[in-house]
Amino acid sequence: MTGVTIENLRKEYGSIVATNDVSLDIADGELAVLVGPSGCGKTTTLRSIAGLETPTDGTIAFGDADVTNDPPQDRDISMVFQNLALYPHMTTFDNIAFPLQAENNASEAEIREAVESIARDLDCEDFLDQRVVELSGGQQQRVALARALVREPEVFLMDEPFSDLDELLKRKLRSEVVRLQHEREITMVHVTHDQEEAITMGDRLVVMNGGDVVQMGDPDTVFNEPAELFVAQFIGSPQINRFDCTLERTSGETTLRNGDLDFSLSDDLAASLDGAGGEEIALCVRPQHFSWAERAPENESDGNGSDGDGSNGELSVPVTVEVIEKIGTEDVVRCRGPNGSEVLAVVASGTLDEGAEGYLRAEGANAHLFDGYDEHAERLN
Amino acid sequence: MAAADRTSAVSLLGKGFLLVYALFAAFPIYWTLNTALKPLGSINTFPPTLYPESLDLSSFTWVLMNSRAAGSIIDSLIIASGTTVLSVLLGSLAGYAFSRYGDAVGGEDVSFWLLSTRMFPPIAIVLPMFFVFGWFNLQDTHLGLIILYLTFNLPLTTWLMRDFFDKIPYSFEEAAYVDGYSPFAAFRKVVFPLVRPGLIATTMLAWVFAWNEFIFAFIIAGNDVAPYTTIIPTLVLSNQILWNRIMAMAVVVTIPPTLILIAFRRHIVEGMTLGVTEL
Repeated sequence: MTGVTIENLRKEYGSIVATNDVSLDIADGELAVLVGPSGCGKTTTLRSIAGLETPTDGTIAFGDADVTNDPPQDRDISMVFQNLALYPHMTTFDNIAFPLQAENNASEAEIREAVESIARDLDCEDFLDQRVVELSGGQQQRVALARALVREPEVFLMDEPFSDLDELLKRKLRSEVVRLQHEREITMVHVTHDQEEAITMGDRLVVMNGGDVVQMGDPDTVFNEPAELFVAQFIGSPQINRFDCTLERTSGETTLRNGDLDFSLSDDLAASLDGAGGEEIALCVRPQHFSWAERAPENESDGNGSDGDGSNGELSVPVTVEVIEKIGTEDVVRCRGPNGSEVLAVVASGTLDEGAEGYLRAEGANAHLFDGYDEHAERLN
Repeated sequence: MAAADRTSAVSLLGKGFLLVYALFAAFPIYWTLNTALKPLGSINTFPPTLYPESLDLSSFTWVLMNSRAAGSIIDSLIIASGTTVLSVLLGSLAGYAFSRYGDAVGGEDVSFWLLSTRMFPPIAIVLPMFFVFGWFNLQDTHLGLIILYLTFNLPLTTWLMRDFFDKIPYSFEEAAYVDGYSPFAAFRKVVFPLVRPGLIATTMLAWVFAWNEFIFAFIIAGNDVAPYTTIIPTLVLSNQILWNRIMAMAVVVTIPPTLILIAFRRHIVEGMTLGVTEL
């Protein structure tokens, strides 16, 4: 096993730029997840690591060895393809044994032993002699994983292999992959467009957009401190609430104005706005960070909270509950805000009814401020 | 009850229709055999007899023993097999290239041009071909007809093989590369087994075309090389038609394609329906 280092990877297909300038560093034994919307360059990056694409520019190294121009055969990798690429004319056993037969130096007995061992790990034993076309989707998935894991490659690559599976199976296989990855300390690069999958699986997320890496970090960091407005909106479910505000500073008090809605900021947050490039600030709050209040926060009746704490740093939005979506122990409530905008919150199940009026409140510490309204707007706090 | 009756009635009717159709389809074959086995004198009797009243094997003996007749069948075998081997080999390579690197080799336009050569009425180029083959001394040779049939078969085999290769996802090969297989090994272990039904169907079509071709054979062939299709018209004499020999020839030349069809029937059906196994 080894780490993977990519420097300034650029790949063009004619006039189309698939990856612009991708640099990333994956540690030995780490599970890195490339996540982003369709066309963000994540699959191109993965295929470049595999050697299935030749970069237009930039270098790829496994450990200290530069492999940029090596064909896939010469890189010690294995890969699970999006369509699995199981060979329909072979049995499960032959499919799993296939990578071991590339070089004719493994004996029949060794191959049998290796295949049976990985088949045990991935519950494929019962259908080793069946042709893969006779298997169910979940079974085929297991076979594809087994074929990739039957060797011990330096780098293990997965290109959205779970995207066609039903929810339950998806969760099960995800956790199995993570278990195997931890057990064997495999360096793994996983590609997905599913941010939830990325967060649950990854040691590290590499969030990509428009051919570039926009943020790299562990799931907590990416979730709690999104580096760009795009990351804040892409990661997290339900989607983060966004208020496009204009900045107003009056007599030592900093206010973000969103139509009829004012957010008075605590000194900490206000200070973070010093680096802002303009008046346009996007304020985002995750639905999970809102809590429900029947009455307006007290500081509004207090008048000026001129003590050091500003307006005690709390944000509140008057809303009317419109729709309640049950997701088990919690409800997602879709509310109508003062400017007709939709505001989402996650509350304990059954606490609210449709039509209820009240306030959604969040601590200032949970606010995310971005320098502008476009997706590249950088985080300020 | 009534529904069950109706179902069985419909199925009975269907079987009855199929039986009638089978008789209808088989009749010409039966009549060919019937005529081939009659002495020439009793062929034109009226009413015709449904079976040969006196069995006469002389026309079969002629087809198999006469050097011109038997030689023509051997010529046809050489030409059809030669052109089939070449057109399937070259067509597979070209089809693979079109399938995998289509844009790099002219893409859809070039492959359409290939197919469009099949739309051209062959009769229009018979005469020019006669002269061109004369310049190159290819008239009356096996090679001449092999090359000529290649011009008709190659577009067909290329087009068909491209379709068969298209059915095999490129990721199958990529997966093999990643697992350490060279492009050639990946082709041999993964692509070839999957394309085999299509390859067999394509081979069959190319062979049958060359085996049955008449117009070009008639123009290009001569005394040394004469495919069987050019022998049959010579059996129509000025004062009589040697129906028994024509029919015996027809029976004999139907045997090779029939045997091939029976041997590979499963693959051919798979290939014709373009259902290259279950991918």
